[in-house]
Amino acid sequence: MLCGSGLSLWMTAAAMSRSLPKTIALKVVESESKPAEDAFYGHILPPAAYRFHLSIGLSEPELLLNTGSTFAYGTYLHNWAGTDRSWVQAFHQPLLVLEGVPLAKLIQLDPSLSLQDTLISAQAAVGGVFAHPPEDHKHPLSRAEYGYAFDPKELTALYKAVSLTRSIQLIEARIDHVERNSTDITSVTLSDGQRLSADLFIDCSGSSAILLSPSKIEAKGSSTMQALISRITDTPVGKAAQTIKSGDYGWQSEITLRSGARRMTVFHEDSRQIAAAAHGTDPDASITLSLGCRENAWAGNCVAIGQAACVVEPLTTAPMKLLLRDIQRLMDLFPVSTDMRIEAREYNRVFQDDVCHAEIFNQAHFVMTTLPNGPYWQAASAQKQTSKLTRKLTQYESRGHLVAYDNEPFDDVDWAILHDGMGRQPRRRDPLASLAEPAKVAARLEQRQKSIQSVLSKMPPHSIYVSKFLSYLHRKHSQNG
Amino acid sequence: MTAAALAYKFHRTKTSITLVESEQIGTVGVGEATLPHIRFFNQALGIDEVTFMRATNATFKLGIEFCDWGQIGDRYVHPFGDFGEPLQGVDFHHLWNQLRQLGLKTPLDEYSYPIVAAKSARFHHPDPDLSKIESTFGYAYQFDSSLYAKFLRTFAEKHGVTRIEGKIVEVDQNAETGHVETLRLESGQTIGGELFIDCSGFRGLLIEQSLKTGYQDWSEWLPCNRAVAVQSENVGTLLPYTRSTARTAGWQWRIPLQHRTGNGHVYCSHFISDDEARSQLLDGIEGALTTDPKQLYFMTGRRNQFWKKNVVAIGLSAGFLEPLESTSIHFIQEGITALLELFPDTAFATSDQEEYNERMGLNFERVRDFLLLHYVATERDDSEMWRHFRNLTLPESLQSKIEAWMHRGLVPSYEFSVFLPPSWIAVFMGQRKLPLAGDPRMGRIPLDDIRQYAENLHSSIRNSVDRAPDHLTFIQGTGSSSKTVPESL
Ligand SMILES: Cc1cc2nc3c(=O)[nH]c(=O)nc-3n(C[C@H](O)[C@H](O)[C@H](O)COP(=O)(O)OP(=O)(O)OC[C@H]3O[C@@H](n4cnc5c(N)ncnc54)[C@H](O)[C@@H]3O)c2cc1C
Repeated sequence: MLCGSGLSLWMTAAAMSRSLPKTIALKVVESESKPAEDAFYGHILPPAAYRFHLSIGLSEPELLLNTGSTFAYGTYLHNWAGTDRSWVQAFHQPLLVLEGVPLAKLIQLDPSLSLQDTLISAQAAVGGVFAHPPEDHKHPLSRAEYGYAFDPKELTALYKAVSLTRSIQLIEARIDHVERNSTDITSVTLSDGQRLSADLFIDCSGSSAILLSPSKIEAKGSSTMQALISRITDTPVGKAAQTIKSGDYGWQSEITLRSGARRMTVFHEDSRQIAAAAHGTDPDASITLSLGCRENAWAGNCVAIGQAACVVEPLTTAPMKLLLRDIQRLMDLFPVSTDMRIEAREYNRVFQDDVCHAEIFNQAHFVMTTLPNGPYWQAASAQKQTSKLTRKLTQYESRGHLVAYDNEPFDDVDWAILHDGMGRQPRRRDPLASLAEPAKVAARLEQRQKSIQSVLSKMPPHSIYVSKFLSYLHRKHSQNG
Repeated sequence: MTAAALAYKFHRTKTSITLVESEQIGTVGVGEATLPHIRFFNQALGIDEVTFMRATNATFKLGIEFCDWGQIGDRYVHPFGDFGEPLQGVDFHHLWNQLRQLGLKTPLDEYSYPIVAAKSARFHHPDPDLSKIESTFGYAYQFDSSLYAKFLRTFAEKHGVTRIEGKIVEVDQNAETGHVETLRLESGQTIGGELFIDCSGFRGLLIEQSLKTGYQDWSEWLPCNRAVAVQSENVGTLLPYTRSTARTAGWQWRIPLQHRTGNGHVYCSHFISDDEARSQLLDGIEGALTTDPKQLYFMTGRRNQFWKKNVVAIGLSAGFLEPLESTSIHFIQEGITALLELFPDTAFATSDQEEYNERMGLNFERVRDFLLLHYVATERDDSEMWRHFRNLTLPESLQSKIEAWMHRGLVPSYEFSVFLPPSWIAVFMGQRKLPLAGDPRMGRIPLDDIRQYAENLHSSIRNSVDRAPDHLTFIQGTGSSSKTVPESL
């Protein structure tokens, strides 16, 4: 039985209804949705969503035809944390190795070089252009990866529609009471008086975690965050990227969909006034969320998915990546019997890794010598640095070495881009990178940048690409009836 | 290996490399089976396969055949490759296990290209076209490691390494920092340096005898502590795989090279005498012996630190896990790769050492669990050693893996490990540990589709292997044969 509402509920339902055998009966108890909370999953689907969509039988054309989604090469952070640092946290294939040395290390040899100049997805995002990466591996654009900018409400409706094409029992009701024995949930009583039981309960109720939370598991270490959210209808499609700006209040994200822009301003309660001014328009919704994670997302016969397990700040694609990974993990470990202890243990082990590694990626955005004054930034800098992040930063700052752990939602490309974007400079040159002949390296890099620029000059603006692609899809769709 | 790799990286730089070796002391003189990663080591150094194979009497290796491990009379191969391919997201071993429960008699091994090829003594290079069944494997080599060492020594010298023959009798350390500063040879010659790489074998001349790093004894889990090794003449077909046969107090290896076969018995001295161990070994050898049996002593485990001050231990000086899965030479390669990535400057940042130690420690630990699996995933209890393993409390990391497997055929995967899920599946399945349940997603796939899929896979592997050249012909055809191949082969 799945309980909850919104994005996590219907993504999970779509995956389960598609992957599990028909002998497993699925009940979905959908309570009144809290769409605003879903904004905390962010507004960008990472490239991994493509595989998820394939797994639930949803093609890219279907996604585009049924939602106002646009393409995204990543997130453009503009003057991050009040500094002069701007970069695209781009989606990109593994970085090249030139002259036997990884590209990221070569870039570190010369402070005037930036990794950004060598990433075609970053350059295309800044230049406002878009095209699908070709399959030809020799083409520079084949190195780019992309995701989608989306509206949570539209996407939820699509996943719901996908789920309901399969055999699911949908019950629209609130959960009034959860009955338990010492380890498990035995049944739930709904607002319409029905009492339902199930072997496995999936909690997609968002941060309130109505099924999981009264069990002894407490969200660990949390801070509260506010957000204002608006839909701005008359904005045309812009860059193929999310844009994030920051101010003393916190930060503001904007994406442009075919149905206008979505703006979200994230701030600390004490800065509400300046945040509202920075938001610049009347918010459609204002939300308060406590950040934090439960120690275990699977307890007894209940699994919490998405925000029911963990609420992470949507400064990066972390919350969406975690949601996708929660669903994949659940599918991989779907119980084989009512004794779920082994599944729960393995699930929680990987969940904890995933969360910890996603959180340190977010946290790394705030490790800088000076941060803006506001309470948002003070709270961020007061977070205790975990030893895993310390190891990553120490190694990078010492010699540009990228430490990797098992189960990381953000890979070494993401980390290399982040460090470079934030202007982190290793104290030492890597001795082996220094062996590469500077002239050869410079020539290779220049050649690379030229070929990127030449491709970019032929790429259409994102808005034009989207509208042409959509008219093509509409034509094809109408031809096929 | 270390000298060659460093020489290749630094030969056009100001860094000078000196290698001190002692013929008088000699090398451990064993070590013949490798893992597929060794190919990347050779490739990175620009070493051509044919030249290398000729120089080292190498044969190809598609995996290891394990005999008598699950129960006496059992055989399975741990291949360098997967079993089948997933169908609609469900791993092949689940499909096979379901078919088996419904009466399928074909063993899992027959759904693995490298196993079928190995058993048929056939070999070819993997096809670069990844859509073909002929691409679905990796391979390694079986070679004479002493010849490989000589081959790499020449390579290193060509790339500027200065080799000094002599025995190190004294090591001078800086009184303040404890860093090693000079090595004094028996001849009186002294050799100074900034970074010292200790490849001195089990004794750990610098890392242990000088720096007193300490050793973690893992005999609690891997109690084998001795080996007796002997070489014999080749008999019969030249096999592209290593064989490991479980014994009452350890196990025996058989490694076919082009010109001879390497044999050895790894055992635990608590459970068998040296004499008995030797006679068990000799009884099990087919060809005539060409050397006297050589006795070796070791303790499984690892140094507390692999890198301390200005000394990095690589090879047996860093630690040793019994050669059941041919991992020692691989550890050397891992050590070199990590050292190159974290190569120090003269300031010797502690962060470089910490990272190196962390990384190598994880490598050792994960291999330890995999080796131990062979001893505990078994029905054997016919000797004291096997009963010892029955009662052993396993490391939590291994215990939970076994439980996950038995419960539902799941191998929790780690990104950083030499042995990925297919290796674990091979050992579990091969040693009679069949999971009690499978992936529930299998219930969506019609049984006929599963049957058809398995049948197609089976026949396409068989047909393709039948067309493949035989191992020896392939070695000869590529010009990889060394002059020492006997006429009779
Ligand atoms: C029984 C057994 C079976 C094995 N099988 C395999 C296998 O199948 N596959 C695999 O990958 N590995 C195997 N190994 C491991 C493999 O043999 C070693 O990893 C490999 O040979 C490298 O050894 P080494 O160079 O570290 O040490 P050694 O071979 O011991 O070399 C040490 C070197 O240091 C020099 N030295 C030492 N002290 C001094 C001194 N005072 N002065 C000057 N020089 C000195 C010696 O002369 C020698 O050259 C096996 C090991 C054992 C014990």
